Amino acid sequence: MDTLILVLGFLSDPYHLALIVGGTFVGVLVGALPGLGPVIMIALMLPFVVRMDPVAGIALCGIVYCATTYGGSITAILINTPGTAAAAATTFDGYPLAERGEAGRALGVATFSSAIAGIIGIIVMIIATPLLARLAYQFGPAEYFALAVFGLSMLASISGQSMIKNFIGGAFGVLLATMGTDLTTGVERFTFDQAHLSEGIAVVQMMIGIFAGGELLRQATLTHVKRNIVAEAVARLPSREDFRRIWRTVLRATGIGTFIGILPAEGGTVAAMIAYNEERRWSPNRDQFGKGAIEGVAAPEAANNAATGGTMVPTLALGIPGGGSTAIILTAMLILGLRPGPQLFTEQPDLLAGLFGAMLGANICFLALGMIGARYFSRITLIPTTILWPAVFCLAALGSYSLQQSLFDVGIMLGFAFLGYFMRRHGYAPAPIVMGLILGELIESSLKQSYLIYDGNLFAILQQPIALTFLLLSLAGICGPFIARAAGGWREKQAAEMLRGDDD
Amino acid sequence: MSLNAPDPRAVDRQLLAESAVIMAVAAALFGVTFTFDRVPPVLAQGIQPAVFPRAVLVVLFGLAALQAIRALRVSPSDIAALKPVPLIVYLTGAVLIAFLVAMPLIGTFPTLILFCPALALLWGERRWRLMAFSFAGVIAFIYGLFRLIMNVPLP
Repeated sequence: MDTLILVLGFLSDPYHLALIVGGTFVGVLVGALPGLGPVIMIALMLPFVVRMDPVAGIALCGIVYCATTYGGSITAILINTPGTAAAAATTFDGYPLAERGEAGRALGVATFSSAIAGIIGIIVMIIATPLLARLAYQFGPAEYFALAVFGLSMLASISGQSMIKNFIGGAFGVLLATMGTDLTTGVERFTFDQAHLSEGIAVVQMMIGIFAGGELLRQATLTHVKRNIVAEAVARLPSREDFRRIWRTVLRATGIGTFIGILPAEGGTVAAMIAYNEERRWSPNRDQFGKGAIEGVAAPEAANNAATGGTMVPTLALGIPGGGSTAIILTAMLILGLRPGPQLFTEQPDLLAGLFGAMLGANICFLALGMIGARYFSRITLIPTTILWPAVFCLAALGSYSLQQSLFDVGIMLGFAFLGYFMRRHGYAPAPIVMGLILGELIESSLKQSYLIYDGNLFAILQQPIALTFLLLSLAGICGPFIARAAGGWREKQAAEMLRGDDD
Repeated sequence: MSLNAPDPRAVDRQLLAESAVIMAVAAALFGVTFTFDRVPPVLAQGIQPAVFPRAVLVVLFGLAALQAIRALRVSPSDIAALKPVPLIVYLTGAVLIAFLVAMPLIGTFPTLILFCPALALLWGERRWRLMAFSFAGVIAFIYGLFRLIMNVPLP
């Protein structure tokens, strides 16, 4: 009840309402731009957010996160180019629908599914976050260590070319977290006699570089790509027939999206792909998938928007990011001096209520904006790359500089831009590095505390039931893909033997 | 190809080279950890400052070694031939570095005025009026945001 009053209090403030409308508008615009997504947008916003009032700053991150996730669907449907990675599955059926003159119907279903799933996801977030946070009262260093290891183990299944490459990225991120002065001993590590590195790697600048800078270098090779809007259409609300066809899909995909979102490291992209595949598997219209099935638009859109609420649950309750975007939001919280966990609910109830209210407001706002203005938002994709990306770099460079007025930080941003480009080129996704960077500090500090508590016997961690559960889950997470592959190989072998038997 | 046909295996040289680079970097950084100061056991609380980074580097080396082993025996269809890095990427990188060098030398806003059209021209943009209006708007926005609203002392 208290939370509800705080949420209503947040929403009744005209400044916050302006923040919701403005943030949603910009978020949908940015989400519609291929190449820019929630991760890059929130990373670019960090230098400004950390100067804002904490409640408004974190709320703005939440608003932009919701709005950009939805915005990706507009260009996925109208120009067959997902604005965000999470909207990639929306192109499979959204674009064929637009091609056959049903763009308005597809946009309407995408907007409606996104908003409904987003709102349900946030309601789950409001309920689940305090429950999970209460569980965190039972967590000591051993449990936090195991939880952070579990978070890293989930890198096995996030998007990317290879599990090993994801783990290499994660390990590199953990290594980056060790840079700077060791807080326990005061010893400098990997600073290479650079005073600028004594406080560790500049996290914000690193994130801006690896995401926005890396993407800029990739965009340099894509300037010849011409984008054509296949149809101009005003989104329209789903008809009674469409509603009858998609309501089960939306609910199923919302469940999948929320669950996948709650798992550490997973995010909207994985949720959308799984929801799409599951829908195609179970739908009576499965033969229509890929040709313009309306369920094929509803499922990924519902899942990726439901995941926005889900990913916030472990982020706020345990300080374990639910995905790339929430890793950056978590960084903003830490810079603002906000420590996620159960104490956040007692010490900062207005912050959480603000975030809940802002995300709810953003979903309602993009429902209205999407219905009215999807055709106009899609026009932003006509901004030439040659104009957009120099402007993005200026914001990235000056944002990096502005935090500590240091050109060294701009250099760090630039260095990570090159690293980000070459990593992506060789199939190493940047998100695991950010996950490793955030979880690395937690892993080291909790390991050291456990060492002290258990008198140097680290095997005692295995005697803690919660820690043991997380470590077993980590093992399952790492081995799962191997087992699935082995099972696939075994099935193929069996099929081959059966075929041989038939030939005989 | 029938299901029971033998699967020919090949070496993924690209992946092997990547793994070798990662292993070399991990080994070099492992060497750097020996330059870390040692502290009395009481202060270190049982774990010296070099222990955790070394453990991470061993994991990193192990993962890269695992990847190298995989690279020695992959299905030819899994080997993706990587095209050389396009020249435009290097040139763009050079312009970005020039931005960093120019900022303290000639000031932020002159750098922006030169950088935006330079990058756009490099990327093939030739619509002068579009560039003039767009970049004037961008630079005015940046001036308003960083100088007037955030009051950041820019070089």
